[in-house]
Amino acid sequence: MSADLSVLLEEYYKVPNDRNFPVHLLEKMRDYLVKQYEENLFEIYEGMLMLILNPEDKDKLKILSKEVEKIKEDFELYNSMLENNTTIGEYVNMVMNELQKLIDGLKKNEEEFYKEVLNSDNPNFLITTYYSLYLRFVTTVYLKLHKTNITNPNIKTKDSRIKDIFNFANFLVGFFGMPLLIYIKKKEVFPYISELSGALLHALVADRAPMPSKDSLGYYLFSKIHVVKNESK
Amino acid sequence: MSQNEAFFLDTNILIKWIYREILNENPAVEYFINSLSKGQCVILHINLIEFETIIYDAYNITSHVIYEKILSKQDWDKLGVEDKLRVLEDIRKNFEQIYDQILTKYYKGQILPGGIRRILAKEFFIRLEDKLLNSNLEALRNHITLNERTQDLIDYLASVEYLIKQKCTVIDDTKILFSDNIIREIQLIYEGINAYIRNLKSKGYNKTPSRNDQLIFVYLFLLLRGRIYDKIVFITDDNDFERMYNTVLNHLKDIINGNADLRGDFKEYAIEANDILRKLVIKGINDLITQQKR
Repeated sequence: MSADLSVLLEEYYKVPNDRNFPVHLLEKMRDYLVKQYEENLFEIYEGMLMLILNPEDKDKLKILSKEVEKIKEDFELYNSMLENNTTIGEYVNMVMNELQKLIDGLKKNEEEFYKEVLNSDNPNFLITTYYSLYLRFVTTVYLKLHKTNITNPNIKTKDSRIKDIFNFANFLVGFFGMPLLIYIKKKEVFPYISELSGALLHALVADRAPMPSKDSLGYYLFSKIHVVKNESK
Repeated sequence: MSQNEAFFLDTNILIKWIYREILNENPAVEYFINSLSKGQCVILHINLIEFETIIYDAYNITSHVIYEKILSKQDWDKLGVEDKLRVLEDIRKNFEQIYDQILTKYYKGQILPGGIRRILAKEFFIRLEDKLLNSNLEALRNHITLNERTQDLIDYLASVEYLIKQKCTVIDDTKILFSDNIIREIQLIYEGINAYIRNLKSKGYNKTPSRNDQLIFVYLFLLLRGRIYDKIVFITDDNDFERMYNTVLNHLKDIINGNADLRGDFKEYAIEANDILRKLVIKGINDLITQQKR
C-alpha cells in the first residue's frame, strides 16, 4: 500500500524519473519545508484561510501569490513553461484532474494507511489524523475550485487572472502533502505536524456550521463538557 | 474608552475561559469576558489555531490510550459490564502515567509535554467512559482508529467554536493590504524582536518568544495601523509578550534617537511604528480582574 500511496504523491509533485524518489532529496525537501514553515507562516495561514473561506478575494490573492512565488521557486517543479504553453481552460482541467487523482487515491488507500501505521512498531495517531485532515482539505479545495467561474477559457494561462487561484491551491496542496510523503518514505513524523494540523483543522472548522450527526462522539463530548455546565447555572 | 477599543485574548486565556471548571480556574475570568461586548472581545485566528492544536494533541493521545488499553484487547465485547467498568477505572486511576508513557514512547519531540494537554486528555477519556462501556468493539474502532475520529474532532471543535463565537469576534480575514511602508515598519519590528531574542539567549534563557507570538505581534500592529482598531488591549497570563513589546519599543527609540540608524533612513518609519504601538496595551488577566472588583 505505502508504495501505491508514495507513487500517487510523487506523481503529484511531478518527480522526474518516477519511481525512485531519492531519499537525500527528500531530506532536503524536509529541511526546506521546515524552513519555509518557520519563515512564511503568515503567507501559509492567510493563504489557506483565504482559499477555503473567500477564494474570490482578488486583491489579497495577488499579494499572497507574489509572496508565494518567491517561496516556491525552487520548491515546486513546474509552472512557467506550462503557463506559456496552455490556455487557462487547459490549465484548469489539468489542475482539476490532478486533484481528482489525488483525492481518489487518498480515499482508496485511507483505511489501509491507518491500519498499517497503527499495526507498525510505532503507532502514531498524529499522522493518521493528519492524513484524514489532509484528504478533507484537498477535497474542500477541489470543491471550491470547481465553483470558480472561467469566463474565457481560451486565453493563455499566463495572461489569465484566474490562474493565481489554481496556482496557489496547487502550492498549498503540495505544501501540506509533504509530511505524508516524508512519513511514507522515511517513517518520520514531520516536526510541526501538530501546528499544521491545527491550521488545517481551523480552516475546515471555520468553513462549516456545527451540524454533527447523532452518533458523533465529538458532539457527545461537547455536550458532556460544555452544554451541561451552562444549563446548570 | 475610545470608540474602537478591543480586548484580544491570548491562547492561554482562551483555554482558561473555555475549560475553567476542568482547570479549576477563577470564575472571574469568565465574568470578565462576559462583561465585554462581542465586538470588544476579539480572538485572532492564530490564537484559535493554537487552541485547536492543543485539543488535537490531547484528543489524539486519548485515542491512543483507548487504542492501547481497550481496542488492542480482542475480548472487550466478551467482557461483562462489571469487568469493563474495572478496566475503565484502572485506566482512569493511572491515566497520568499511561499518558506520559505513551508520550515518551511514541511522541517524543512531536507533542509538548505540558500539563494542559494531559489534563484535557484525561477529561476527554472520563467523559467518553459511558460510550466506551456501551459501544461494541467494531463501532469503537471506527471512531477511535479510523476516519470517524477526525469527524469527531471537527464536530467537537465546530461546536466549541460556535460557543466562542457567541461571545467573541474571531478575526479570520485581516483584510490588510501591504505597501512598502508597512514592510519597512515590520522589518523594524522584527529587528526589535530579534534583539530581544538575542538578549535572552545571551543570558542563557532557552525560552524565547514563539514564532506564533511574533506573528500575533505583527498582526496586532497591522490591525492598529490599518485603523481597524483604535486601541487594542492584549490579555495574557504570562509576561513573555510584554517583554517582547518593550524591547521592540526600545529598538524603535534607538532608531529615532539616531543610536541604531546613523543615517536616519528609517527614522520616519520608526516614529510611525512607535506611535502605532503606543495604542497597544498588554495586560495580565489578573490585573483586569482586580480592576473590575474595585
